[in-house]
Amino acid sequence: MPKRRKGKNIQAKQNRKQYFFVIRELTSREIKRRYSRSYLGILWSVLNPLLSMTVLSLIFSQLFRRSIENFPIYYLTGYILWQMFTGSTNAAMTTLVDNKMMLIKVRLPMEIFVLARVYTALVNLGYSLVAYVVMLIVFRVTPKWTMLFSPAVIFLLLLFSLGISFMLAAAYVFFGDVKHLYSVLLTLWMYCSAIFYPVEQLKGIIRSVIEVNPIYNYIDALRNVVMYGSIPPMREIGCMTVWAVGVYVFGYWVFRKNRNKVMQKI
Amino acid sequence: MVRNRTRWMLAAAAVLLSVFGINRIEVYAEGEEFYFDSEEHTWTLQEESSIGVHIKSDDPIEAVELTVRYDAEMLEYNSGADREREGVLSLHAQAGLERKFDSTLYFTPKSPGETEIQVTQVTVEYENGETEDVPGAAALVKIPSDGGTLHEDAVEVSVPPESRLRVINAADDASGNRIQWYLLLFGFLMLAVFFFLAVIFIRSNEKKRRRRRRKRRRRPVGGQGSPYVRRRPGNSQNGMMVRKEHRTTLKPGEKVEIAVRNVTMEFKREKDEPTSIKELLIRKLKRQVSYEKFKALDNVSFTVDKGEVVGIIGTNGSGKSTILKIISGVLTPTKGKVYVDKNKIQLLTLGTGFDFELTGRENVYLNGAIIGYTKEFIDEKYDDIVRFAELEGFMEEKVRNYSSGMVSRLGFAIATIGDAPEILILDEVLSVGDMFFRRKSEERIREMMHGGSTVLIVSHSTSVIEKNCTKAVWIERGKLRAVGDPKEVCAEYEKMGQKTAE
Repeated sequence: MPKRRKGKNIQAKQNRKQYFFVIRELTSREIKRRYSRSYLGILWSVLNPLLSMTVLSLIFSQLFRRSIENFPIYYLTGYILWQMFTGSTNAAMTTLVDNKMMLIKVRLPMEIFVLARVYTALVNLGYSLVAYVVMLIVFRVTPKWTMLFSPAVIFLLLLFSLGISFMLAAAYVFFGDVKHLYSVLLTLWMYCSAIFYPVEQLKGIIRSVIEVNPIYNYIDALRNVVMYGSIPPMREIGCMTVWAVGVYVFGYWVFRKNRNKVMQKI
Repeated sequence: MVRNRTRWMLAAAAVLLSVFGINRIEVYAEGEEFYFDSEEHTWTLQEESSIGVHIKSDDPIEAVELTVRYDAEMLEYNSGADREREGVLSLHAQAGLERKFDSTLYFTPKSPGETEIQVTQVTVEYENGETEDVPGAAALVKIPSDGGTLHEDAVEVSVPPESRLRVINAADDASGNRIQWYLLLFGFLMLAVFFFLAVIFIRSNEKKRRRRRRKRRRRPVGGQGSPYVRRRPGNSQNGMMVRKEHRTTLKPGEKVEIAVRNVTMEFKREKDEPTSIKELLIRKLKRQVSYEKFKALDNVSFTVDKGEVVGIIGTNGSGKSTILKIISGVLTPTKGKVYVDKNKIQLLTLGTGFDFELTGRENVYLNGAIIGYTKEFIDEKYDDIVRFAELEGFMEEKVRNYSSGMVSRLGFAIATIGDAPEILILDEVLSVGDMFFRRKSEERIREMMHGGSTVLIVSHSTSVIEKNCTKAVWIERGKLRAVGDPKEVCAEYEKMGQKTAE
């Protein structure tokens, strides 16, 4: 019996539900795959960040004594955001090529694969936030109401990562070199993001570069709300939003423009 | 080609210039300076003359220690430092945490001529107790025989940045230097990245431009002699009766489900396509890049009516899968259009995109989601899927451990468990599995067909087409060769095979 044609609105709503269902399935596949051969399995999602945070806190509180109070938390805040950014962009870069077979079958648009990988990174961030909260308790950081702004910061960083991921995913299809170039770029970017040193120590041209660096803005904003209990200055909020929206729009546009070429290449 | 070359040279020049530009910017480095100056000092024979010694630093200096050598024959030392011995002075003083240190040395020139006063072994001590050796300098002093003012050049010495690199430590600004080096590299690499991205965009634009140019120049191509069957009733070519086709409407109306109109698919392939940027650059520089247009499909048109079972036959690489991709909307044809309602299509291919690290059960959900089933639907039909694929008890195993037959059975089961889709496209799936499963799958396909679905089967096996189809389409090397009754089209197809074998 042929299927009855559904009304347009219902169809659209069902499509959207289906869209999210596919993203969830793809994400759960990525997460399962990450720890698939291990015994503890899914527990590692929290254990991994927790252990690495402990080790890093030890290193930074003993070996590099710094003039910043509570340096481990200072560092970890930057670290989790940085991990999310690199995790999402690196994973999303290869997703179109990895899922070559499925691209042909899937009726849903190609963006879904990029979205799924970035969403995976977000979920991993969620797990590391659990470990991060544990660290906050250990280092006696008092809860403040400004902490409620952290989801906003994370959301803006998510948009930014999505934009970059779209561009990288499209570029990687044509040139595998992008992967290596990007990893070198990330190393330098990390040094310019003031993750493990206070930006106050520097002056001159590097300082201005760091302050323009979008990742630094997100990290600084999160530090402000979590550690110092203050709302980040308007300039910083503006910077974050502009970067997030701008990069997302641009990246998405680049992605869509090259869609047909990607299909041909794949 | 000429335009190509100039563009590349311009780009290369831009990169080189910018690299130098960044170098220039970087030169601001933290360090110390040490110099003599004697501009306002007058050196007169037989009169006490002075020379100033200055040390400049970006960090507050605690103390300074230096050694001065002078020619004792020409100059007589008066004061300003401690005399170690004839011709050697040493100066050890507190700088009081200033960023500069000044001192004046007094000499009396004894005889005219030129002499050099050297400062060697300059050691600077910082606030935190660290010391640093700064390379010294020398000042040439000319003593006029009749007296007068002479200016010597101030000699500047600056500490090269490398010697200031050390492990990032509290309470000193040394980190600034290292960061600045990274900044330089960062800038350079950003440029490299943008350059490569620009290359990619330039390439794509050039291809578009070239295509447009070629289009204008291209002359109409004459007939190749391949029998393009004209769809006119009663027309017979090569002894083949063409089925009477309805006057086809442009859009799918009552009868027509899929209308493929003058579809041409061209892939712009470079001969030996470079797989990396390095190869691309080398080819471009050697000017070896040549573009070749590969026509996967050339002006193909046919229609599929509702309820028909159409088989597309052709040898490998003839364009069958390409036409399927175009119909299902995955690829956009370079020319022509396909009229079909994409929501109705269900595509079944081999290589179903299973993930080998997941279990069978997880793959059912993943695959089902991708095909378009909702979660509830999969929950409902899960047991039926397992039963059809005959994989009871294996679902918790990783797909990695399945045999190839099991994988294809599972794929087939997932794809066909849905209610018969209105348009079903099978890409060479009826040849999987052992005899029994093949029977079962053909049975299932027949079920779906009787449900009123339109089916499009792609195969290179004539038996499959003859058994199942009501109409056959033969596409060979992108060109439509024949449309019509399956038996006849297959006979044509086989005839060609015999011809090439001869």
